[in-house]
Amino acid sequence: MTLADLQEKQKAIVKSIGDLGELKTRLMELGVLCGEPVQLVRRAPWGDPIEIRVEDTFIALRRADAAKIEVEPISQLRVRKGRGAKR
Amino acid sequence: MKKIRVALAGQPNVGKSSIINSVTGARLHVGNFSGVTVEKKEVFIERGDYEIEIIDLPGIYSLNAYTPEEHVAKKYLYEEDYDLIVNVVDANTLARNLIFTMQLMDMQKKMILVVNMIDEVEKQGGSIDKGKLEELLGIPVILTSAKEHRGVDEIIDQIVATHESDKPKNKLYYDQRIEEQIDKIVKVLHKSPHFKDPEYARFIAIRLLDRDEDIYKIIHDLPIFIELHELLGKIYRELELEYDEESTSDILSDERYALSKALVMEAVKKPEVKVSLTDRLDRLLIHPVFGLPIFLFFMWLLFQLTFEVGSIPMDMIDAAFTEISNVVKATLPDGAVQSVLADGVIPAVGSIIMFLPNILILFLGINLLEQTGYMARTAFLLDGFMKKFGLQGKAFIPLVSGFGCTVPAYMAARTLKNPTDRIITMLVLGFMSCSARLPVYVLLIGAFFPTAHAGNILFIIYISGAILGLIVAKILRTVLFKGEPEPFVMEMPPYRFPSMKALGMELWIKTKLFIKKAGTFIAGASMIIWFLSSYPHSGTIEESYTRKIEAVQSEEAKAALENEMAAKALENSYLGRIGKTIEPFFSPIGFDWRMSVAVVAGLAAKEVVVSTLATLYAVGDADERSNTLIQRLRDNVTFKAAIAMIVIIMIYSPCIAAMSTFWAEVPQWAWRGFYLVYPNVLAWLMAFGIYRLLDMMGY
Ligand SMILES: Nc1nc2c(ncn2[C@@H]2O[C@H](COP(=O)(O)OP(=O)(O)O)[C@@H](O)[C@H]2O)c(=O)[nH]1
Ligand SMILES: [Mg+2]
Repeated sequence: MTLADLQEKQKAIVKSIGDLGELKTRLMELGVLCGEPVQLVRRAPWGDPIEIRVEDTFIALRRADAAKIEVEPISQLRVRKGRGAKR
Repeated sequence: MKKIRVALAGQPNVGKSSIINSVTGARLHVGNFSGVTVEKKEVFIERGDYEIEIIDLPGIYSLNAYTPEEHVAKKYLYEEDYDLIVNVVDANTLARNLIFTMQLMDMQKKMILVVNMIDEVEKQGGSIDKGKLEELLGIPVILTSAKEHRGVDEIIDQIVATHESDKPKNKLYYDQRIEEQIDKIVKVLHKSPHFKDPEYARFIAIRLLDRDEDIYKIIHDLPIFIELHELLGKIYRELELEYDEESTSDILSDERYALSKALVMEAVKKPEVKVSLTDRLDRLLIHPVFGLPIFLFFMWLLFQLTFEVGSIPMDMIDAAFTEISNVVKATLPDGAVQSVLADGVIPAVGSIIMFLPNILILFLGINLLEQTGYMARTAFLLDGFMKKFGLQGKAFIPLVSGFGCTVPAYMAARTLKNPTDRIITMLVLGFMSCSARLPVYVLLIGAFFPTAHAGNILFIIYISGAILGLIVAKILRTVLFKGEPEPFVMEMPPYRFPSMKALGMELWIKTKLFIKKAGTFIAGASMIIWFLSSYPHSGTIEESYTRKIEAVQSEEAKAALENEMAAKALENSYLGRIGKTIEPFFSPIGFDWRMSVAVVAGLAAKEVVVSTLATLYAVGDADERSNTLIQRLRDNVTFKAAIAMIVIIMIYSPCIAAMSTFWAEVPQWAWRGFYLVYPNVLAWLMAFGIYRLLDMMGY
């Protein structure tokens, strides 16, 4: 599953960052690295962009780019309620 | 006196500018970085035998510069001559800040680490062990809070101490496998006379591993390039295989991140986590449904306040200038000097100073949006919307700044990485009405709309400008620039209570600049307008009217004739002739020659429109009833022509200062030419359409 598929408030671990060009470097500098926990904080109106959290840094990025970041969800809290969050 | 030059570097929003502003006994100097229009703030401080110069570089996340603004900071760090680096970091997000710190340490210059915002960490029960950080990093560390003025002056003492000490320069070691490769690269580099200095060679080697394009360009033209290129290819492949990463720069990023996490683990006591104020505010302010209406409400409120509160001191300022003008009339003997002052300069300057309160409120509002961190939220809220118009959310920030002043807004467009995005944003920025256009709007609204609706009309004018800008952006994107806008990635800084001192400073600087502009540029322009409208004196007109006036009996008829004479003289003046020449061009949109002249004069500065109207409509005013400019406009200008004028002001070219900034920012001649022509054509067409429409509707 990818970062874009997370539900609001759900946490996950970054597994891999796909082909994002220079954006990848920028994200890594902001703390989005493999093995780090991330959380989807909220979505903007119309669902795009999204806000994510790594450590104490909050980052806005677009769904299309977030969809290239593979994650492994860790918070089971919402999964029970959510539809199709687990796969 | 000996000089120490200090480069102040750090990520965006860490409080660099706040620190610089709160150093005791500093002289501030604001200029530009050479060749570019990024604002360069420097302070000069005297301490003992030294004069210390500190340069506030633009915020930069890392040496892998991303936006044009970051490139300015990087270029400075690489190429300029300075004695030491002061690296400011945010105590709240120390781990990721330290990644940049480590890149700076690779440069092996003398360096000081300033951990700012310590107040926020402590307030939440956390703490940072300064000694431990110093020991682990091997450079001096100072904990500061610019907000509470803690530790700021210590920075200056430490700068002197570090400058004087001959302690070996700092050095950071990477993983053994990486170090081995660095050594190999350094060996090849040493073969070139450019890289005899081992410290410099090591830095170049690390930057090559970090895939730094700028460094690659340096080595590209050297004789050792072929050997180096081969070696690098081999090293890249080896390391990438060994670490299972896509690029050696990712390896270095991981490496630095691991190091900095270890550092933070040792030296920082984490504050307990709780729901932050930012999170609670954001739940409301960027709510998926309520976020946008709230934003629109803030904007509406801003323009209401601008109009309503701004108009309170207006009458007083107006009265004061009328008084000054009367005093001048009473004390100076009749003649050209009295006339140029009392009828030309003073009313013109007064007609502009009157709007200072409006302008200050608008600026304060935009500054508040920026300083509190709300501006980044608006970019987040509106990215989806902006995308439909071929722009991205971050472009919204220069656009909103454009409501204040177009010049810094053009500069703010530098935060956009993609050149196409930047050009489109800059081409439509002029449609965001700047505060200098405010006087014209306030004047025309005051003359032609009921007071109760004034704030709303103002809001509508600004919003229409913004909507027009978006539509034009969309057209430009589809017609002239193919391709996708750049990816949107942006840090959302926490909400912060703005520093009152900083806000006060900004307003004070703004006031000073405005008064200076009114007193020099605008006074000068109005003097020219006065001259052009007073000369040449035509003997024949005066003669014929003097005879007529003597011939009639009633006072009324005398006054009417006097008026007529003045009007004839004005039409005969240089300005009248110019106006008559350009009038045919403007008459389809209902302008008389006076409005035409005012609009053209507005190309120098938008405030000049008001002062020119004041001068031109003041003539022939023997009639007591029409003693204010507003009344005179009502008597002479039709409603539909006034609307056409608002439309022209909204759309046509901005002032000279803004145009020259665009010129400096955009090197392509094609765009420069396009920029000079299209807003004016568009303005005329729009004004014509609206004028005709109103005409058909019977206004
Ligand atoms: N609490 C706190 N806020 C600070 C401190 N220093 C700066 N700020 C605030 O942080 C924000 C960014 O500061 P600024 O100087 O513009 O950062 P720059 O981008 O690095 O120049 C502003 O709202 C400042 O008022 C500090 O030491 N403590
Ligand atoms: Mg700053």
